[in-house]
Amino acid sequence: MKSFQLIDARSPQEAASLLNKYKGKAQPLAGGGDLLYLMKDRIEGRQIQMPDVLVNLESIPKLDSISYEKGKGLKLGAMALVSDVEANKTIRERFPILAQAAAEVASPQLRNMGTVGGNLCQKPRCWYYRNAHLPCLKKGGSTCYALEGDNRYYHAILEGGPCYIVHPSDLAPALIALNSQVALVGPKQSRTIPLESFFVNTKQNLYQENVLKPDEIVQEVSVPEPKEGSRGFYLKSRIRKSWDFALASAAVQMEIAGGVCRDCRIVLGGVAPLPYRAKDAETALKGKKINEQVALKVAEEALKAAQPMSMNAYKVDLAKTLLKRAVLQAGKV
Amino acid sequence: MEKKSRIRLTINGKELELEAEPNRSLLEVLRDDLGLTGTKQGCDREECGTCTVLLEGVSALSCNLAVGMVVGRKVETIEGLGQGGGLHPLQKAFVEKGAVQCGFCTPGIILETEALLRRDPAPTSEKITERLFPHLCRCTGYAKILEAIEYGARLRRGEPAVVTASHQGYVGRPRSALDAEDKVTGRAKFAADLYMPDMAYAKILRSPHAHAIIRNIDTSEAERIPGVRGFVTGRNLRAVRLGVKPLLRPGRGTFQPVIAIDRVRYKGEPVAAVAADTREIAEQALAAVKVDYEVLESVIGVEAALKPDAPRIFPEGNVEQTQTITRGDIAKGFAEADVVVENWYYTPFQEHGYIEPEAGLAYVDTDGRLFLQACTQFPYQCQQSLAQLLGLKAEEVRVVATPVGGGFGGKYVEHAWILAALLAYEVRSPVKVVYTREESILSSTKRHAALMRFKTGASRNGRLVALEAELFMDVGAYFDPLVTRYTAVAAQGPYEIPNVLVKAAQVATNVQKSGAFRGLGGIQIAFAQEQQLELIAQQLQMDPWEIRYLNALRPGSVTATGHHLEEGVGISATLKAVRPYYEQALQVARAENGSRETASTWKRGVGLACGWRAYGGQSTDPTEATVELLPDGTLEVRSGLVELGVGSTTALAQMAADLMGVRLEDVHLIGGDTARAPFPYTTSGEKAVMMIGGAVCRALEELRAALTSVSAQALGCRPEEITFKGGNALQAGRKLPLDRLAALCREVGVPLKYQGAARWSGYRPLDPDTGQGVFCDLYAMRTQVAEVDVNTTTGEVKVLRVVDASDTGTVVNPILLEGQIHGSIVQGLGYALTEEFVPGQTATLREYGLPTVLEMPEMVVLFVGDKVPSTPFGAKGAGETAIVPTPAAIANAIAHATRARLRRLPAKPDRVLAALRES
Ligand SMILES: Cc1cc2nc3c(=O)[nH]c(=O)nc-3n(C[C@H](O)[C@H](O)[C@H](O)COP(=O)(O)OP(=O)(O)OC[C@H]3O[C@@H](n4cnc5c(N)ncnc54)[C@H](O)[C@@H]3O)c2cc1C
Ligand code: FES
Ligand code: FES
Repeated sequence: MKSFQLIDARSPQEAASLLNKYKGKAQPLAGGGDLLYLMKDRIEGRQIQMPDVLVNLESIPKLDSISYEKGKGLKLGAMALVSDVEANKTIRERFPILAQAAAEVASPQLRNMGTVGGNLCQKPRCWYYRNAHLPCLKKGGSTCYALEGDNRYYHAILEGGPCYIVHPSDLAPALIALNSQVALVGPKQSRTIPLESFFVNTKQNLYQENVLKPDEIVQEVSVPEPKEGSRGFYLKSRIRKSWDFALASAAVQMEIAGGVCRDCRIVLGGVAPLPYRAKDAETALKGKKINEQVALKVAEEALKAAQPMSMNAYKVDLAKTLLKRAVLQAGKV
Repeated sequence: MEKKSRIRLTINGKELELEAEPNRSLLEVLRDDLGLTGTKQGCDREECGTCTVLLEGVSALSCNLAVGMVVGRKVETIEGLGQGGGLHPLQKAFVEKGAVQCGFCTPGIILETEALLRRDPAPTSEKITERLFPHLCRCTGYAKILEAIEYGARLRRGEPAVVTASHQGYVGRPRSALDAEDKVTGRAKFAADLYMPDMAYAKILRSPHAHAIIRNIDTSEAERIPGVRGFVTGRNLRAVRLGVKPLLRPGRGTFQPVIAIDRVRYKGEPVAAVAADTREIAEQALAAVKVDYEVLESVIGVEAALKPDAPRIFPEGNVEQTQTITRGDIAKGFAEADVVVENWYYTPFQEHGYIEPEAGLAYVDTDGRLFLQACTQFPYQCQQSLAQLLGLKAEEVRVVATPVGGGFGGKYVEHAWILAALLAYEVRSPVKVVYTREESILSSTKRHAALMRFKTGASRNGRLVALEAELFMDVGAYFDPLVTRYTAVAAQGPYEIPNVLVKAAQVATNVQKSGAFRGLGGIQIAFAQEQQLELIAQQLQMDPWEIRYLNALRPGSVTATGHHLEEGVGISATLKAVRPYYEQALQVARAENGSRETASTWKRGVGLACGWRAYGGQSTDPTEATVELLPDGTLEVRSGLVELGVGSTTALAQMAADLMGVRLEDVHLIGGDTARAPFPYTTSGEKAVMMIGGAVCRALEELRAALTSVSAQALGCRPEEITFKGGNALQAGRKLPLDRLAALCREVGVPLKYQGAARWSGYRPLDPDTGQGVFCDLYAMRTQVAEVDVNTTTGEVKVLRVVDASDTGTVVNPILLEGQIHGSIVQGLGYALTEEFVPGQTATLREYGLPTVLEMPEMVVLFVGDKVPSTPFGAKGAGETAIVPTPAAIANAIAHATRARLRRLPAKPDRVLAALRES
């Protein structure tokens, strides 16, 4: 393992200041589920270096809290455990799509250590990227090995290129479908942005999957209260029955009245370098009575722009199937 | 390295303060600094569960916690359970229920369960599987673990233990494995758990290229790094200086060097090995080695290697025609056939996936003898290799097998410990090696991938009349004919076919070498042949069961190699045994598919497959064993048997205990130690029990004869009146305890130690051109039924149930044999559905896709078949070959459900969807 210094932070601001102090050489440490894994394998290259300093967020009081206020919605501290999100009664009742997504993350043990912030900021699972010996494009090399190589499982069918990773998080699609906001803290300033615009594709930034500055941390994710009659559903497909990252996943959150969809948000996971908001599909769903044909049409629209790679065309069908099922499930009254 | 700090922790109730770098993993500190080696390292990447500890009572993976993250917290390890005497209820349950095979996964699973039970003393089975699935076990197939957890939970709640009535004798009775208690408590020392003062760590530099010439290796800079003790490379090998061939495994018809000499032929091939004070220094040293490669074109995959213009790995070419078998007249056979079916099939590499990575510790003792302890299945061959490589006499090398944390044929004479031993000999200090999971996956041997063409002909009534099979076995970078020969012999399947032509070739490619893996040969064949039968049955509108039963081998049948079969031919009995299950499954499937909405994306299917594989030694050399009655009246048995976690030693002890009328606890087995039990034996597992068991039985017969005559004299009766029971010689109510009898023997000068020998008598090497001969004495045979659900839109396959009937002869220990069969079935299921090794790419257990408890089907295990006259107690054993028909049965079931025929494995969602589109 790459050696590192561990510094406990006492507040989000202090964490950001520490990151600023060791600029470029420090990174926040949450559960360590992904970060220590990368450090052990030394997944680095010209553009991605392993940190010398880890700023421990666990020592920050209350950053792991989950709170709900009727009418205002839900607030998830960055250090809230994925297992707590999964088990939280209010979330299960009012934000079932989020509890479903949390239950799909890794394994019970890893959910017990993994945090909301870490889950959103984890690095992709492309096996070329994760192979320490391959100087792939994302690490600062000149080739994306997935283009010519084995791109069957964890590579993009949408918005790919120049690098073809897919975003690994299960929480992100659900949280975006719920129209969440994310609060970021820097040493001097804080900002709050829609979670959707937190993520970027590899054309926008090849080396980082989000807009975090090197001295910023995620402090909190807030989820607005869903409108009356709003329902959601998360579905994920994987190689083994459990334990694996998504081959594709679908998050659907919609308001329905009398079997008709008033409004909706649709996000796909495992198919693009970022959680993929399928706006055309949303248009196809809004104002429609939910049935097989409509669901099928929504799925077609969502994958209309798909450009599969040499070996992953099946993921297009897979994503369509999942989305169709998620629409029908969410629409079931 | 980071500065040390003082770290306070509570471990197993004791407050400790230790000096450690806060960035080291808790796992490493527990093992290296605190000697708590019950916590295992299977992957170091959060993917196996063996490192589980309790952190504040909650289960946590210690491999991914920096000690700096757990300062001041309470940690519990397996050593802390059942403290204060006696086993913890869960430990007791694991022992009793046969849930422990190799035992490497056991401590982690027990702790996980304990964490669950503290919060929920009576969990539902869903809750249990949910906690269990991240724990990988490669041996048990999870069924017995689930049973043990439920039983352990009951014990833990204070419910009374189920006491089994005591009975006469041991053979045929369920007994927990002899070493299980050591494994559930974490006391068992696996190779990675060994430490010595002044020990160096070995690391291996591996080729980054699949094929290259080594122009130069420069270790000079690396040697100057403080803490580096020495290097072994192809340039400074003692064997080369001695003029000996530097082979990893001498005498196997293979040229695989112990370390690359002037050329590398696969990515991951060892190029240099270093010994250094710490792992970090060893790694630094490797980074400082300069290797100048001239990269050559490489060839991966049999298809590519067969092309005429493929790059050559050996000057002779990439293909070696290894074995042809001909019987009857193939042209005439096909001319007579009413249906002929011809297809290509492909089965991929399979990683053994033992949860214990390769490890060993070697040193030169004060007498100058090289001493190696390693997790090898074959200590005797390691001894041979090392003696040859170092120019030593066999007695100057001692190899002891540590408990093997899963072998399955993959822990033979391996680079890991052979290089560590060579280093220890060079640098004259203890050297330890432990592979990372990545290097284990990258470099260890695999099951041969196989490309197979099957042309099968049958007459209108369903009789098989002709088979032509062309087999291309991907042997990897170094030729080795054995497995290819096994595959050729298996090609006809357990069926009578009058006209056969089999051509089997091994094909060299630029990947790690292929090697032995349980069910070898048979599994590839079954995948092809059993689907062929299905297609023929379809064309003839015949029942799949009928066509198998009609053609099944019977006593008196002659195989394609001309072997007249007499005993142990139970294939039809196994077919009969599964028949009711098969028919019931078909009914259920029909009802299920009928009741589901037509739009349902789930389809139920049922598949049948038979399997066989040659079973028995490849030589007529005898194997030997000794038995001795010790002064305290207990029995010592020395043999070449190594415990691989498959219960072989327990079975052997059961046989010995029954023959001598002593308690199981009073049989001391010594084996797997080249110095204390110098009886080389080359096969493993159950076959070894047949052979070594034979030798032990012979020796015991002599001992019994001697003891009978001495006790008859002492008791003043006829020898025929003497029996042995309960640790006594008995005659009409009078008894003479064995310790007294031993003393008497010494007084009258009757020896107490006897040697016995046994051999596979029938073996006649196959003629290379006609394949006529006797390849082995026995064949393992079985039938399976698989029931699956297939999702036609997502490509998911769920295996719901597998029914297995095997021809076992006498079952020495039903609980252990059942556990073996479960483990094999789940390995076969993984091979069929989730496991995939992509050369040069697959690096982690998650990527490889070992099945978890969530993939486990319901398993029904049936034992059938008659006693085998020629083996000890009439036993045949049939655990490991349960893997053979599983992929074929699953493929047939998928086809039954959907009409999609899979000619390539694994059936991952993408491939299932592709097959569905084609059908
Ligand atoms: C075997 C395995 C299987 C998995 N399967 C899945 C899966 O199926 N689905 C899924 O969604 N996830 C999966 N994961 C991810 C896992 O569950 C964790 O959510 C993830 O590892 C990160 O969580 P963490 O809290 O441990 O973060 P860390 O590993 O500590 O951090 C991850 C990254 O986020 C950064 N970071 C953490 N917190 C913050 C913050 N507050 N602000 C800014 N940056 C931050 C870190 O610097 C680091 O770069 C899997 C992981 C493993 C090891
Ligand atoms: S060693 Fe920690 S999970 Fe495998
Ligand atoms: S007993 Fe579980 S891995 Fe061997």
